[in-house]
This record gives sequence, C-alpha cells and structure tokens, in this order.
Amino acid sequence: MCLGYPAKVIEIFEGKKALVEYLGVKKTVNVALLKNVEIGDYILIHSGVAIEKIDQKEAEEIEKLFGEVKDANS
Amino acid sequence: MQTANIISMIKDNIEKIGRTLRVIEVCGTHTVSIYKNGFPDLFEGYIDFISGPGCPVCVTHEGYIDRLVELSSEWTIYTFGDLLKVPGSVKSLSQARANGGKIKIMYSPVDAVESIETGEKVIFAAVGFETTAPAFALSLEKVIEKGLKNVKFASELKTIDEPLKKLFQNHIQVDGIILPGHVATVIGVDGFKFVEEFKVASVISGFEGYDILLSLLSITRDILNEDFTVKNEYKRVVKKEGNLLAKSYMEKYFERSSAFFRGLGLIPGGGLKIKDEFGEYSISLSYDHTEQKDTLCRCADVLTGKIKPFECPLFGRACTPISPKGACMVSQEGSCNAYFRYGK
Repeated sequence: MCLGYPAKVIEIFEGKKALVEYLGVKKTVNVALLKNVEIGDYILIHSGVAIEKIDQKEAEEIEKLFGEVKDANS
Repeated sequence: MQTANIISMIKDNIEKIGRTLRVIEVCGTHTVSIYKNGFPDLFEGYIDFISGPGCPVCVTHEGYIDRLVELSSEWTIYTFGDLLKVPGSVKSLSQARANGGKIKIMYSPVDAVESIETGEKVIFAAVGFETTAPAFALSLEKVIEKGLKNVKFASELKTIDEPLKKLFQNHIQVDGIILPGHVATVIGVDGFKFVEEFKVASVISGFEGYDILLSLLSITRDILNEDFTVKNEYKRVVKKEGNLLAKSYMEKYFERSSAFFRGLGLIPGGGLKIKDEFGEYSISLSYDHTEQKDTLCRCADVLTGKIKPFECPLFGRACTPISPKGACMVSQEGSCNAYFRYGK
C-alpha cells in the first residue's frame, strides 16, 4: 500500500508534472510535493505522486551493495 | 560488505545477546520483503518476525466496506485495487461491482480527478497512512480548483504513531521494531522520536532485502549497546524532518480524528479526517466500530503479534489467497497472504 518506486526525471511540464522513466517505462507523475525538481533527478513515486528526491550518492552506495547481493545469488 | 558477512554479523550479535529476538515490522511492504527473501528461515532460532498493524487494508473495518457497497448504487466509488476484495459483512466492493455497483479502480487519486465526468457523483475511498495522505490532499486541492461539485472523500486515512503507542501500551513483547520507510519519507526521523520512550531498538528501513539486513544489523547493535534512539537506514530517501511540503499539504486539509484498527479497536488520534472548512468535500461513513466476533478469522490476533498466521484454524484450509476469509489474507501485503505465498 505504501509501495514506492524510484524513477528518473526525463522532462518537466507545466502544472507541476514530470515525465519519469522506470525500468524502461515512461509515465507522467505529479511533482507538487517536491521543490526544485530537475531533469536527471531520481525521485520516489507513490500513488502517482513524487514524495521525495533520492540522494544519488547514497543510492549508488546501495546499488554497489545490491550488485553484491545479485552476484551472491547468481 | 558482503551479504554473507552481514548475516553472520547479525547472528554473532544475537549469540552475544543470548536469546531469540522478537522483531516487529509495521509495513505490509516490509512483510512481503521479509517473507520473499526467506528471512524467517534464514534466521530461524535467532529472530522471530512479527507483523504489526501496518497494512491499511488489513486494519480496515468491514463496516467501512459495507457503507461503500451501499453507496455504490448511487455514487461512483474510486478506490485503490487493494481494497477491492476486502470482505464486507455482506459483500466486497468487487462483488458489489459485479452486481452493478459503480466502482472504479484508481492508480493515483490526483490523476483520478481528471477522469471524473461532468455531473458524476464521486466518493473517493481514502485509505492509507501518511505516505498516501498527501496524495489525497493534492487530489482534494484539484477538486476544489476545478470547481467540481458532488465529489466527496470518505477518509479512512490512518496515522502510524497512535496505533504503535497502543501496541506498546498493550505490552507487546518485542526487542526491535522495523519502522516503515515510506511513512518516514513524509513524517521524517523526527516523526518516530516517540518510539524511543518504549525502550526498544528501532530503525527506519528501506524495502530491498539488503535494506532489511542492514536494519536487522542496526537492531542487534542497538540491543547490545542498549541504545534506544531511532536509527535511519533509509538515508537515500528519508530526511530528519521528512518532506515539509507533503506535511504542509496534509496539515492544510486534514486534522486528527479517531480511527478503527483491527485488533486494536478505536484509537483517538489514529486517523485523519478532512477539516471542517472543507466539509462539503467530506462524507462521513458512520458504522459500528465493534470488532467482528462471529468469525473464526484471527486476523486481529495476527496484527497484534499474538499468533502467527499458521496458528489460525482457517489458514491454508478455508482461507487462502484465492478464497480469503479475512483482510490479512485478502491484501497482497497481509501477513497471512505473504506467509501463504512465501512461508513454509
């Protein structure tokens, strides 16, 4: 229910909307709850609304670790 | 840090502590992640996992469903898919729709406003925690901006703090608590400060298997150090103060109210209702808040950590995901459903 997915901002529109991409799927979401959204930002989407920006450095750290998990399971 | 290292560090710490730990999570997405990753098996004898009342669908009273079913003959009900199969005392929204009830599934309450037809009488079934409440606030704002009449919100929105306080006041025995990462995204680390008074290890967690492992490591460290400050292991998203803009939207349109939680009863301050100044957009679905007693379903006991799903007499027999008897089996994020799909 509180599910969220991370997505990359591709384009920003009038009316606090943005086109985002996640796993190759593009979708328009509402970004009214975020300040200063820029193209290239990663944001967290819940119920069609962006609820937070994702800290890139932290995310990369985690990604490195996730890579290890994937390797361990392959 | 290798995954295997983290697992052995967690186990080493628990061996030092010298007992099996009881760890509760209060988010359906965590429930699924824990079972899907096989952690109950992986940490058998080390950690006893308990699922708390953090799945909004699971804690919703059948009376709310009954009222929506009644109203669906006259109003169009916009609902998340999660709520569709929750049993009412007579029928679910899904069954009501099959019988001609006007029920539409929405993905986003904000986008749903765009699809309201002229003159359509609409009720939004507003269900969720603080993660979802800002989306409904935005939705309401859009309804007001567009000047739509006959659009109402039936708020069954919940807050996380009061039910958690009640769980601890009811003396639930746990050593650690995994706090919901997306609720924390909105209310911040500060929003969970109240947990510290209960003297348990607590950590805000992300949802990947790796996030959960890091959170379990944090819990075991905190128990060893007798450190009961809230930790944040979801730093890539969660800030100390949360999302101030999201909180301001919530505060603009909602105020605290009493809310029913299955297993915990009616909790003052456990819900969010639309403020009186926006009363014309609110519809109050009054129903009898007593717990359903005439059923063998033990969902209420599962949600409060009293029993495990498999200890319910219906589990896996009369009650399965295909033919669910209670909300914990209906919801994809319910403990019973997750246990049935991924448990032993």
